[in-house]
Amino acid sequence: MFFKLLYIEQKKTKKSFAIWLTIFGSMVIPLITGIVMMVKPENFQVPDGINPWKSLLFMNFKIVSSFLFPMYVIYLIGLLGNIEYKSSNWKKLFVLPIRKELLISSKLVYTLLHILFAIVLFGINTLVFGYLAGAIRPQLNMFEYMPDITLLLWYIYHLFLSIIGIIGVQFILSIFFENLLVTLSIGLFLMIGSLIAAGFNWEYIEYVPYAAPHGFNLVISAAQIPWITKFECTNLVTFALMFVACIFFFKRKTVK
Amino acid sequence: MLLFRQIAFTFKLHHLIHMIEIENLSFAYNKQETVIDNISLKVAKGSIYGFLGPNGSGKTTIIRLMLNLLKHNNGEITIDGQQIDHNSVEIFRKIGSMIESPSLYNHLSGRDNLEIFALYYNIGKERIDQVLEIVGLTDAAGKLVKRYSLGMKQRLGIAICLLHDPELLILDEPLNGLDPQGIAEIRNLFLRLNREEGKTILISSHLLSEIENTCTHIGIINKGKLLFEGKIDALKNNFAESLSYLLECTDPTKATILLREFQISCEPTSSGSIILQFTAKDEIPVVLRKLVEAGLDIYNFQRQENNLEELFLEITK
Repeated sequence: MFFKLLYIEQKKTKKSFAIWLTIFGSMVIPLITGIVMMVKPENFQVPDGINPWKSLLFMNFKIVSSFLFPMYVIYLIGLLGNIEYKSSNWKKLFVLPIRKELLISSKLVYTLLHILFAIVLFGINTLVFGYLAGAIRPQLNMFEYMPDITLLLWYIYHLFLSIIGIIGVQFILSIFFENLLVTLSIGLFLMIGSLIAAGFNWEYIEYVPYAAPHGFNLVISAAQIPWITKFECTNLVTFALMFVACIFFFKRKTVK
Repeated sequence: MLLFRQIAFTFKLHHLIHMIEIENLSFAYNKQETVIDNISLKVAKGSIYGFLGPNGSGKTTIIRLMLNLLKHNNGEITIDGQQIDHNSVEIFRKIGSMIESPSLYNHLSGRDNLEIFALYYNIGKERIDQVLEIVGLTDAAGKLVKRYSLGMKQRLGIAICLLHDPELLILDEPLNGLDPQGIAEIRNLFLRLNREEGKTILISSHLLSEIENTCTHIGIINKGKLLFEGKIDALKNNFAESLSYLLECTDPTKATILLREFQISCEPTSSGSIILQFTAKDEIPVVLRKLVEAGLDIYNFQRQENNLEELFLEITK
């Protein structure tokens, strides 16, 4: 039943703004860096013997994680919640012969999978536009080297872990506030606050899920990419707590 | 049937007779404002129950309470013998419901919407074609719902309710937005579902003519209180022993003067007839005899039936 509920959630997003946002949003940064590489290949010079794919992956993931990706996540969760709120569909879902906890957990898991899909798509687009740039500008040496898939998988894994705390908090906000603008505003406020705190090297920044860009930056800048960081552990704990809270509140939710 | 009812009552098997039983239901959003005030009602199995009341009377709130969308403060709600707050998942298999506007995914087509709910109910795709045909939306199934008219959305909402072939339909204002032809078609659909498939249907509406023409039973609610419950004929008998009559005779002007002399309240109409209002039945033969003796020929004399609209206004005023 749970997999069927996941399939239903996927079916609901068909032709929705959320799915177009994911598809086109994942193209923006790879497309822009690809164009820059084509127009100004001299700006993308890597020393001989160094795999240019490593530089490209590092650059794209660093750019996207700085602010755009957390904002995409905050906006996407608002949009996904809005699919039900827009036509007051909760009143219909609550009278289905399905337990509320199953309904809400399937939504949350679908949201996770959707965001993971977005990161993977971003990685694929990075490779596609990298090859395109390499085809037009052979001096970029993109065809001389194989893309570093291991590094790509590490980046996908850590970007996902760095964002999972925000997913949990934004998801529960979208249940409480049946308004896209409110959840967006709260998310943006927390995001900017966390970035400022990170800028001032606040000692407890590792315990703030909204400092995702800072957390991810620490990982990709490390000499050796770690399995898991303290920041990511904070995120996992935050997500687990939000998941439990979500089920608790959702079971008590009424439709006025 | 009567014997069956007696046996059911004796052995407290009410659920064999009543699909919905509400006992002493009260609800308030806050301490100051009681929205539903100690309401008890029963919806018989196999009936079409009209839930009638002016806007803001509490109809939708009661329906939300019935469906466990709101938690009641006091009382008990039983559907098919099971308490809604204890067995909601089991009970929801038997109910098809539509509250206020239909809940639809506007960015998807009508068929996509039905497919989503068919998956929830674990129903095959052939049933989708059936319900589309029942509500007359087969040709518009591929169209996006955001391009549907209000009436088409109502039909699609009803189709979703029918998908899992429920025993009980709870429909809040289901005829909103339908044109006269659409109203007639959906009314016939309700009658057919009730008569041929034995479905119990609860319809809330402020379209009094629809309640009158479609329902077997009626409940009238106002300001959170149930003012009447029973069959429509019983309502008319209880509240409206009408002593209003229509008279057509040779000289309406002379008749009006005479009637006023007899102290009978009368009102000439534009068509030349007169509406008379008697205070007691005994007055009728006396007055008619005097009119004939005064040389007037009477062509028509008939009782004015109170319609439900008037009764409704009288009860809820």
